[in-house]
Amino acid sequence: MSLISKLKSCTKQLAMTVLLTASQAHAAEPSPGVADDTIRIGVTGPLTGPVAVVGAVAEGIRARIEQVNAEGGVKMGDGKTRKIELVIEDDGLDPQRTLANVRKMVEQDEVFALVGTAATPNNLAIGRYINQKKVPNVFMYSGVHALNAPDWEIGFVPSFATEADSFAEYLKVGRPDAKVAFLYLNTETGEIFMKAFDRAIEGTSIRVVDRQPVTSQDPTVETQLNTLKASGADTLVIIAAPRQGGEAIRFQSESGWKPLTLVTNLSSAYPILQSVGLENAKGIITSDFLKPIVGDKKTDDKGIDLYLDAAAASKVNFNVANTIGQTGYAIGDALVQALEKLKEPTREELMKVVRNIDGWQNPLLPADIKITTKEGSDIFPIEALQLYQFDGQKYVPLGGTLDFEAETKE
Amino acid sequence: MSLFFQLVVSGLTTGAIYAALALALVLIFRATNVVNFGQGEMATFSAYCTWQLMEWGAPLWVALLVSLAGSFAVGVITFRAVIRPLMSAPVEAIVVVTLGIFVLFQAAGMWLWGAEQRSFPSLFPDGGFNVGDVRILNSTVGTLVILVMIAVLMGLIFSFTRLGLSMRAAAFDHARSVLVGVNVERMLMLGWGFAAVIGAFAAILIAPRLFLNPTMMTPILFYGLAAATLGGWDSPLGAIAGGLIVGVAESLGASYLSFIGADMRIAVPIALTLLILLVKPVGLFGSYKVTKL
Amino acid sequence: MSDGSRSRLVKFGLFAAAAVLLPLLLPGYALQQVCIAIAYAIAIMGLNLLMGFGGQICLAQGALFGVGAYVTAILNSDYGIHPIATLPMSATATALVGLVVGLPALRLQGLQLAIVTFGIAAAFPQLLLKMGGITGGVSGLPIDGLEAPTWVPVSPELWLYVVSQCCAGIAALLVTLMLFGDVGRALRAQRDNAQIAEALGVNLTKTRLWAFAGSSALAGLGGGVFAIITGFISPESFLAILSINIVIGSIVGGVTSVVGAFLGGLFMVFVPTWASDINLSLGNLIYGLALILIMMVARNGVTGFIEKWLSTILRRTADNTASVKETREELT
Repeated sequence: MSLISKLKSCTKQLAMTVLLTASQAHAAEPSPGVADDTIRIGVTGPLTGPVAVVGAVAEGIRARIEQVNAEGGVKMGDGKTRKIELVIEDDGLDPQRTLANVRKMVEQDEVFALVGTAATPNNLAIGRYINQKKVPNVFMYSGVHALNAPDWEIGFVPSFATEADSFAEYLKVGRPDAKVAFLYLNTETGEIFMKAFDRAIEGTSIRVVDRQPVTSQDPTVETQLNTLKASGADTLVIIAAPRQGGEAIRFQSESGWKPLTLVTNLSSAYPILQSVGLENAKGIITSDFLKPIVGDKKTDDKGIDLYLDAAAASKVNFNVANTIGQTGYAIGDALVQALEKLKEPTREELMKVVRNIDGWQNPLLPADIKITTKEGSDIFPIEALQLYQFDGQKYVPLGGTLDFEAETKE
Repeated sequence: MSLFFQLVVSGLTTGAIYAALALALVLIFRATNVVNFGQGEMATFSAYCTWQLMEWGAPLWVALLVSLAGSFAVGVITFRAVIRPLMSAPVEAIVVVTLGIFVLFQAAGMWLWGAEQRSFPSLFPDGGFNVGDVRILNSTVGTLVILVMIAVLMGLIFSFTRLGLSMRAAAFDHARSVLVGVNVERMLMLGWGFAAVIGAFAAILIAPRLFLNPTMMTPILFYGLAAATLGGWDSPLGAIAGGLIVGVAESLGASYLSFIGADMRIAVPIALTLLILLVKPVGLFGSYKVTKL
Repeated sequence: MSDGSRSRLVKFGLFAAAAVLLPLLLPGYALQQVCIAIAYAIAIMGLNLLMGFGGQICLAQGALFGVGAYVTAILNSDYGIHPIATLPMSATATALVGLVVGLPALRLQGLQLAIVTFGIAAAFPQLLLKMGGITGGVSGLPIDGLEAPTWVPVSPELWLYVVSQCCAGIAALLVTLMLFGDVGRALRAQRDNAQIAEALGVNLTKTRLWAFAGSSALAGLGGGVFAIITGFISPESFLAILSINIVIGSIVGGVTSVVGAFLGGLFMVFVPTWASDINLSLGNLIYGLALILIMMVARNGVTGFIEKWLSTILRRTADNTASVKETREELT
């Protein structure tokens, strides 16, 4: 056979294969990944690499799911009880690898849905694909919620705007003429936060006197903080990744500045304060949607104990006081609740359920912080926060829950 | 004006961190003519070992000495296992192998100890003192003093002892060193061992500032390389000077050049390195000779 | 037929067969990963030109790759230009940027050049964030999905594959032409000994800048292809580590080989994934070991290794046929 005719036959074969796979895709059953006794769910996150801390989301989800499976599985709305098969992939936070993982999980492993996909750029990178394939991407771990596949995705953690509102709310009462200095992450995180904060303090006598950017790669942040200190501010707001946030918490104490320090929950977790030195963190204020957990000692809180049991049983690779891991567990629980409510195991039904949540409880969320969404008007599952102040040993609640239900604007 | 001096001091604090890594990079370059991109990650691994020993109840000084000795062994083993078989290979192969060392040690640290940051005890008393309005941290002063002592000692060893001269000769020209009776392999092995020890010590000095975590050295790799380049890859004191210059320039540039700002401050060391190299291609303290990557 | 041209023919045949067979054997998602590998391969070809043949070390190839990707994305999403039509512009624009990056190379060499260019790679993502107005900041930019023309009955993945292979083919052709011409000779001469080359009339400035421009053009082309394949780009895809990975890909494949560039691209995409498939938590450990072991086995890159192995086999078969002939002659 000559080369040309060989090539021709190859092309023909090629076209055939393509047509075949295309028709197969059409003939596939309506909800892939669902069998009578199992349902397959995909998770992708940075288990390795420079931001492997965020990989704790996947670990937390695993802990909750293994716990449910050990109890026999989820009793779903169609009357069948299914065990959840988790497919976990590592993307090193590289959006291109996230997309590759998601495609593999959808096309080869045939997952029913994705859960807890980490980081904004990564969720953006898979947006078009999940839209095309109509795969639910539920309870993303991203503080930005309005991304590019609105019909097939839903977030989980409060928007950075909600956190900004809670800080502004606190200052309006606690320090009505605060002079605020910002140390902000130079991504959308920082931008959304500051925009919301500026909007919230309009018409008050709170003033922002200086803003310094910080990147997640900065080895030290002394320079920015010295500039902020010299600005004459009496209030410091820290929006930064754990390392830089930790350095900032240490600086405000060590340098003798001692402003009123508000730290977003990106870098206020208890293990971070431990690395900084608990004494240095005394007095800082943060806001969170999770119950404060400082160690693996049992409490009288049923939800926390459930979590501690799961973390121990699954031998998770993070410190149980780590809020990222806790968030993962909470996401896992929300997934289980969503599956319980599915009247029929289809992807469309899952989206319908997670877009119309009416006040779910969660083992790691305080009783008055509930998960609520509304199709068409509210895409933010958690919009309430509790302020906490660190007393040198533990976080003490400050006032009541601040509820911004249906008020979030990004 | 006091802000200016405060910024200079915070530049020195950061610069001391760069200087520590640069010192280790320069030592291994002088002793083996290789730039070990994995130096920082090996050092982080040693710092973790120190921490682990202390968690098990060893006092700081014991943990320190044991892990420094361990680092020497790790350096020697690394050399014998992966560098020695490639001594006659093209330089590209060695570059990739050192990058492999980088990945390997970082991954090992993450696997053994997790990705979360931890506190690491400082060798110096907490806190600081004020000179006028300017606050200086004890750890900055302490780190710099120790680094300078190491650098001077290294300089003396390289210049005046038989061992140092043999090491330099071995690094400079394998074939001819053999002819003059230098045991090249042993010298290179010692070079890797000593560099690992200095690296480990540097990591232990700076871990309290950066918080101990498996990737703590990664963001400063570029700064360490820039500092070593500014210093000329030749003199240990030059590396320290390079680190401090980079730190101070970065601090002042980030604050006073508003078009750069703190988020683009990495542009300052790039511009500075480029500028100095264009004027003096071998760096501030380098001597003229052929260098190859 | 001479030994060299025969081994080249065998190599090319194997390569062509692999290129045609891949889309038949692989599922859609893996084919898309192959496409990304090809995009990287184009950038590696550029780096090979500069590093393998020109002896200039550039650790900013990932940043230049990013420039190409962003030019494609901006032209497509802001000006509505068809993605494929943007590619020549990406290549040209990146070549111009590359000329600027290459300026220090006129005075700096080796390690120093590597470090200055590494700095550029480290600063690039921050610059993208800082210029959020044009680049879309952390939320990045979308690129129109590529649909095959109606007269080509193939799936979108296969069409992407065809497009990226065509771009890679053009890149390979350009590199080969450049290397066989005067520029290529001048390039190798100045790599081997700059002083002698200059004495022989090689214009060092011109040659080195040409090399940088050519290398960057390919980085830009690769970046443009990457943007089209992924359909969305953000600064997270162009961190400093990408430049390092491109250098690793280049060296692992073999710095003076076009086929090696493809192997390097495949290495960059697939080996980390395979490593993490073997064991999720030990993924990077396995990857690091793989890097070291590959260099210990194949110190001149994988293609160098294969060539050596291939020529041994060819020589052996040649010897065998020769001895068969001899025995026949003896018999008759």
